[in-house]
Amino acid sequence: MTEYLDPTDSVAVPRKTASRPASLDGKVITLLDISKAQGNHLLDRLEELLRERATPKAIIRKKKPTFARPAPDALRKEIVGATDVLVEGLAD
Amino acid sequence: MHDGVFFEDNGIPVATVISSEFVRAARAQADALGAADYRTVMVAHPIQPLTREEVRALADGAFDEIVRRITAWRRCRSQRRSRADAMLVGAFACAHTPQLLARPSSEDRDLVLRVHAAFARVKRRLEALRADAIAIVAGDHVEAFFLDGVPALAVYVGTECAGTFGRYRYRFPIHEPLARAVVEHGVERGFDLFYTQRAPLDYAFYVPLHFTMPEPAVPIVPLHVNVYLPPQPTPRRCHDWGRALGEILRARPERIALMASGGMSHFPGTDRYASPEFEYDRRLLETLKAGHGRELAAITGEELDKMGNIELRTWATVLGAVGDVKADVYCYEPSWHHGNAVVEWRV
Repeated sequence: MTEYLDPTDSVAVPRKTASRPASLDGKVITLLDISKAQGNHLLDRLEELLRERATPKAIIRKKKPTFARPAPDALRKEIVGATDVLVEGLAD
Repeated sequence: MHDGVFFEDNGIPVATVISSEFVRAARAQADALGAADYRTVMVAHPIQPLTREEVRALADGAFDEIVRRITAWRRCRSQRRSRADAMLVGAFACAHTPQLLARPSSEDRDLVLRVHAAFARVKRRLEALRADAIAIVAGDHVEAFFLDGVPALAVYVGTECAGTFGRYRYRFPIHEPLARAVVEHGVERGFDLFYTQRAPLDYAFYVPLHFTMPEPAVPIVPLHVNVYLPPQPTPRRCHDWGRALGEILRARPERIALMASGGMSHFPGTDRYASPEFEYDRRLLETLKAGHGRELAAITGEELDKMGNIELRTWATVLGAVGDVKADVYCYEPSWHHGNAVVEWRV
């Protein structure tokens, strides 16, 4: 199908997603709370399920100050240096 | 979304959990960032009014999908897949009788609940089949198409699709790559398909999805067949389109469930409303149980009209895709105005 491009829009550089591990065994998993109400309950339960059903090396909980803005650079750097995979939520 | 794309750029697989209300915004933002491959994990909106336990239940429902997003589980499985493991994983037909949802006092409560139980079986099957998308074939009731044009066969290709029915306001994300593939390959196969990004979604699509949408929810591809406004496509044409559609779906990497919405016998807006042709329905179901689905393609449009079964064009489409597989009839419940059937074809 023909793609119609908006000439007024900015042109983004196409990105690739990261390569995925075969499983979560032995991996460090970060659960990032974006600070929206109720998200903590979802992440609490996810943490329980991950501990029950996978054997991660560690599960780290992080929270960004507000859902309205991207995470501060310091928090981003801290996560990048310390985790294998990340789950963020809950945008509502 | 910015954080998720940032972490992916830095080599960290991310699963972003969002509620269904934000699918469109997330998609637009990912596209604007050039991250077309970025996929979110959707849970049902709204979240804020839920209890803690209800939010935890959402996590249970979304868990498998989250793990699939951050591991190569899905990729490994698809690499092992052979051509024999067709990616059309399930096929169903579901009544969309409005009274099943609206439940006015005119209805037999027990009958309605028996059909609901059959819908619940479909929902559990869709969850067990781990469908990635539902391609749903339905007829429009003059909500999407009328004075501006009436396509015989149409595909909805937008980002999401919405509609209203009584007090219900609904909105579904569309599996866009699949929708586009259906249009492109359908046209290549000789079906001059109409496609739209704006048509509202009729209750014929909504009623079955209301009851059968698996948890976590999956995107849909609405496939329109003109069943109401003459001249409608013949059942033969619908069956032929279904055969091409089945080939297209089987060539896709996604696990796709196909669903026909509608039927069985009813005569809306006529003095025959209280006199459906139940015996005709029962005979037809016996034919389908015996695996003779192609016989539906041989029925004329006139006969379908006479028997209150014009909507079975959607069934003919699905039968074209599944071939002569024996139907598993979950229920046939004749109410005073509709023959309500729920059927699976194991593909």
